[in-house]
Amino acid sequence: MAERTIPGGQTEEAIQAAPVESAPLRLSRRSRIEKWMFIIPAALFQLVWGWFPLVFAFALSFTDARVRGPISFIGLQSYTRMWGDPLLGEAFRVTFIYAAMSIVLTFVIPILVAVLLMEMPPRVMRWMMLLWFLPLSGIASTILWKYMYNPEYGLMQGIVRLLGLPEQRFLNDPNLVLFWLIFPGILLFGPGLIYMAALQGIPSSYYEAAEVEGAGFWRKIWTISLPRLRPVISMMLTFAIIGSLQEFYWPQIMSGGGPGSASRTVVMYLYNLWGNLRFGDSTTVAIFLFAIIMVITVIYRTFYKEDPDA
Amino acid sequence: MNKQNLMSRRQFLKTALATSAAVLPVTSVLASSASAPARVQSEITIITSGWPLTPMPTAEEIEADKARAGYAEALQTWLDENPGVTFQQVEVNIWDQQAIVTAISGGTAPTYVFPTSIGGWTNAGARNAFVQGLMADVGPAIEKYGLIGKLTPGALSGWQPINEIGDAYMSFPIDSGMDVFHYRRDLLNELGIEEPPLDWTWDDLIALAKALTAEGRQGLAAPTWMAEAILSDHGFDILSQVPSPQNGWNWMRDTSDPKWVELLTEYRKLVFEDKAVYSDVSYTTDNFTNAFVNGAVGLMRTNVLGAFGSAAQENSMAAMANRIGKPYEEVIGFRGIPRGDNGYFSNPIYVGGVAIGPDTNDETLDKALGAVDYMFLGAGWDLQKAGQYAATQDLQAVFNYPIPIDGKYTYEGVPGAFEDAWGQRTKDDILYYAGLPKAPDEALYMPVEQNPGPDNQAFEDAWSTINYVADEVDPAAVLKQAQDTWNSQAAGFSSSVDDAAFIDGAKTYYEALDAFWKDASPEFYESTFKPWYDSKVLPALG
Amino acid sequence: MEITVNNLTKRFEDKLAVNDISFSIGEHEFLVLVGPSGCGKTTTLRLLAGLEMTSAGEIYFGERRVNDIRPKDRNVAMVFQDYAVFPHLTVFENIAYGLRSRRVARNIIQESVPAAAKTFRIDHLLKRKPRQLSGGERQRVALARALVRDADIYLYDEPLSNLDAQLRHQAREDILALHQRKLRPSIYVTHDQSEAMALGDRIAVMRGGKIEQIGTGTELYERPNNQFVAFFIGTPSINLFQVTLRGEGEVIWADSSAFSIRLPEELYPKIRSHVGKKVQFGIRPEDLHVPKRAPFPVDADTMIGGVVNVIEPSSTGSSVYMSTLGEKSQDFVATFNLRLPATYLNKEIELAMNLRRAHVFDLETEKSLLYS
Ligand SMILES: Nc1ncnc2c1ncn2[C@@H]1O[C@H](COP(=O)(O)OP(=O)(O)OP(=O)(O)O)[C@@H](O)[C@H]1O
Ligand SMILES: [Mg+2]
Repeated sequence: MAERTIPGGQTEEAIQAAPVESAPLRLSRRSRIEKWMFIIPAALFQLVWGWFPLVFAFALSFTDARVRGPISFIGLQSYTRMWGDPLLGEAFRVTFIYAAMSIVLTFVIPILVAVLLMEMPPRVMRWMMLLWFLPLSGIASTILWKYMYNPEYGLMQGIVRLLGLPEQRFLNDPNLVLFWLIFPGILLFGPGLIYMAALQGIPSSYYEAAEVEGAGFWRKIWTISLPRLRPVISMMLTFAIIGSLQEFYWPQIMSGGGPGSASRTVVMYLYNLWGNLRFGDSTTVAIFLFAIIMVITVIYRTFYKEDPDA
Repeated sequence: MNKQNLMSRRQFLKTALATSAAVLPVTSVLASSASAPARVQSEITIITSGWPLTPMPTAEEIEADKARAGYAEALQTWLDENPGVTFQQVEVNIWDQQAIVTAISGGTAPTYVFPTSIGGWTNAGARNAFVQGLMADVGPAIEKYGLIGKLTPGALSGWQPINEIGDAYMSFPIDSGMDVFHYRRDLLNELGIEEPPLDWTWDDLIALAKALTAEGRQGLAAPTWMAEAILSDHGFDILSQVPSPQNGWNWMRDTSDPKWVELLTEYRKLVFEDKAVYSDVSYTTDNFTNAFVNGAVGLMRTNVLGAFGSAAQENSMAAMANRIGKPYEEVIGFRGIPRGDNGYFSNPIYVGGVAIGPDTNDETLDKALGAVDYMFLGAGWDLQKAGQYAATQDLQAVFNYPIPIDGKYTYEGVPGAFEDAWGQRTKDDILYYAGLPKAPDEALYMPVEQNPGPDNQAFEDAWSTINYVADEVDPAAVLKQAQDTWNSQAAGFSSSVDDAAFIDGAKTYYEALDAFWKDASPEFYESTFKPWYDSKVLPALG
Repeated sequence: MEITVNNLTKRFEDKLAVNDISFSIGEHEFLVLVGPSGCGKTTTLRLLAGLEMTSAGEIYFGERRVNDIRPKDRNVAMVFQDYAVFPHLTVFENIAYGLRSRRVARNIIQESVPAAAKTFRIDHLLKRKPRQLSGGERQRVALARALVRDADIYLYDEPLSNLDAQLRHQAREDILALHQRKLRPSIYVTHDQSEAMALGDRIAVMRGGKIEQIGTGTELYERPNNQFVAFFIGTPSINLFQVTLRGEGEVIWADSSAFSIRLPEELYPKIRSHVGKKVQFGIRPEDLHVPKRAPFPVDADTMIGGVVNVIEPSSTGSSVYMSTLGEKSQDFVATFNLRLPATYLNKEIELAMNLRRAHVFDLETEKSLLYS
């Protein structure tokens, strides 16, 4: 997804630097040297490709930067300008709704589905997984979905008609366009497969012990499946939050941000600003987004402590 | 300057790249291998991404595409006359603004760049980018190669105002295009609909779109900006903008004229009640072209530069005529941009050119544009075309430039002319539109703006809403919101032009406009322009 | 409440894990299941717990047929082979798990969990997570979780297999004490014979999905039904020799390449039918004695000779590994409650057999001629 490497996209790496617990093993001198041999290039790489652009963007946001010619510091001009920009406010509104919806629909729902699937007989489950796996590559195609969503001859309208529901305008409907952009992601079930892999790693004796101890279906899910999924959920949720707040590709290709501004995300907006040679404004928006993602991630990390027992 | 032209032109260029359409050298980029030739020790190296000129085709490339022989011969002739010059191919997407801006700032830009993409596909953006130093001044080459003398008056008036910035020039012209509406002449005959006159209006267009709508077919293919087009073609671009020198940013938008709401309401009726419009938020140019050549649409706005694809190309209108089994002219007709019912009209022709990367030295710039001049406007052009004809025997393939900027409709060594390939009527109609008077361009009068300003996003959102949202939409509210958003954004910017210079420029600009319209369309002048000028512009300029 | 199992069968695809077994456990009984790995012990427990569906046969908890009752409604307590302690719950919550599932009142949980923890001496660990416990402590959490509530039947699947000898001993005492308090039918799977002997009211020996014999430890040891039980019970295992029974007037001799002995008369009624045939003759290592110390009259016809290969001292004396003399030499073991000096290594010695405690098995059916 080359389209994602947009200006300001540096924020991604910066936030992904989540704390990782390293095993405090006693290493021999030699393997300690080896350890540094691996870590130093990675750290340098992160510094150069992750933090440097961020610092650079930060610096840029206080200038009237142009590609050529003199650059002068203009203080907080970009900040006040973008703070007062109604379209940016709108883009943030869209982005938050998009993120919330996509987290509920493509993140929370798959947890439930995966958990329920695990209760199926193994044979059924294997078939279901195959059913999901096979079309994986094709399902994420924007071209396919553009056809699917065509209000005249698209397959989705066919299904809607078949179900006797009122005809839909799909991507042309400003109230539902975000939902339809997320919808393929629901079918994609990507996180679901990861949950299922994680669920399969839970020893069955936990469930059996619970059963013997009188636990019913929901209690088993609540007291075993979900707690055991915690580390996976935690990691995936971090990615989902960061990823959905930086959504660009699907709305850009599928709806171009429309109709109106109904699906224009913050990253799309800052991309447009960049396109109009408004580098300072564009990076300012990137800094806004970075700050918001940072705050959300920190809050989330604080409330959602890593659990070494899970 | 007309925004829609640029938008569809951008699409056109993308399509041209993807479908190997009109511009020969461009198509060959796809055929040529990505491997760049080793840097040959020479005095001058011209670096190209493949447009508008490619390095010398290899024997295999010529073998694969015989038409390339003409190009090779022409280029060789030029190289022989210019010893020490070599072309080097690099992989840079000069059509992608971000990629090319990055390349320029990193010093890896090719010699040839495309100004409009650097400017984010607006002329104002391109001029702004030029002022910021993203392109070199091509003025010396313009002078040396006597370019101004080579262009037709129409091409000159289309190119010069936009490309002359102060005493510098942004680009070197190579081709010209305009937006037109292509329609299915055969269907009109079948349905007994009278052909619209050359000076047709939007009322005619709407009637035609409705008449062409039938089971399995919609009248008009419409991208998002079609909602804007109906307004622009009634003078919206001029009339919705008022100078406001008292503000930091010297312009304001004013869309309060009830005329606009009336037009938008009419357009939405066509879309949502008559269901005569083929449009969807997800459509791209490809969708419209496919729909048209497959008969799902009867009327489509296109750029003539891409429209004259030979019948050998599957998705061309010529191929469609072949499939139907009738001569091209009996199947395909076109009309220029319709006039407004208020008497407004525009000459939609624009001239495209090649710009030079800012790191290019004077000598290289000179040779690079010398080659372009030779290959597009000199003897090289005829050599290429003759070679292409010899290889394909396809007149349609050869005459794919409907508006030659030097006015040449015949090429030495090619038997026949443009009209033999596409019909006399086609040529006459093009010339009719090319001959329309052209209103004064703001860029000719206003001092060049050095600072970025508010972009058109707010209005583009409005057009998108008008075009796609089926539920209750109040065009008045949508327009008002766009205007207010734009004005509130504008409050955050300041102009680099001082007020006195701005007022001076604006006064001369509007005086020129006033004089033009008084003469060109008394109807528009009396009913619309004059009252507006008196009530909005003059008070603002004090 | 008595547990009855009738013709219980469990088939996994083509594998018969449990093959038509029947047994019953008395109301207060503690039954120990032993058998080689893969013989179906765990499967039997899981069938009782309801974690596997029966392929055939019936299971009764008292009068109630439980075949189709889900595990959570069977009121079974089970300790798993791998503990299955929930890693994300504290010790307290682990122990309270079953009570909470059954919606036991909060104040009762607050009382009974610490009490159960106390029984297993983990009451000081209630706030910890399993990660912070030793293997033995985790084991005891599993025990406490199973035993904190009153179940109709208690199932233990090798619960102490991962503990060291001392801890195992202690836990065994705890389990027994608890059992004596609750007095509910219990089944206990183990590989450890001393554990089986110490815990079980009765012991069931399984092989290949079948129960070979059920009885008290002494019964199984002294009167095994068949060669497998005789061989499986007792460490070191019983010595088996292939012999031919030879009748010589009133006397029956057992002849092998290594020895020729005269069998005591009380065996004759049971073995007379096999005179002239080959049988397996079994003698436990503890029934081989140094002649001078034998607690029975010794003569040449009760002696077996052999070369000492290994002397292995034990807590109570020593195990001596030997080979018979003669052409086809065969290994056998004797255990003494004295320490055999190392000087005997590679020496030839003669041992006396306590033939009253000998066993004789049919060569084909492996059935005991004496006790079946
Ligand atoms: N789910 C299953 N599917 C197929 N075969 C199984 C399954 N569970 C057990 N078996 C087989 O049934 C037989 C009995 O298994 P079981 O676990 O009851 O043995 P066990 O006596 O408990 O052995 P161990 O002492 O090693 O724990 C084994 O051969 C095993 O391979
Ligand atoms: Mg087992």
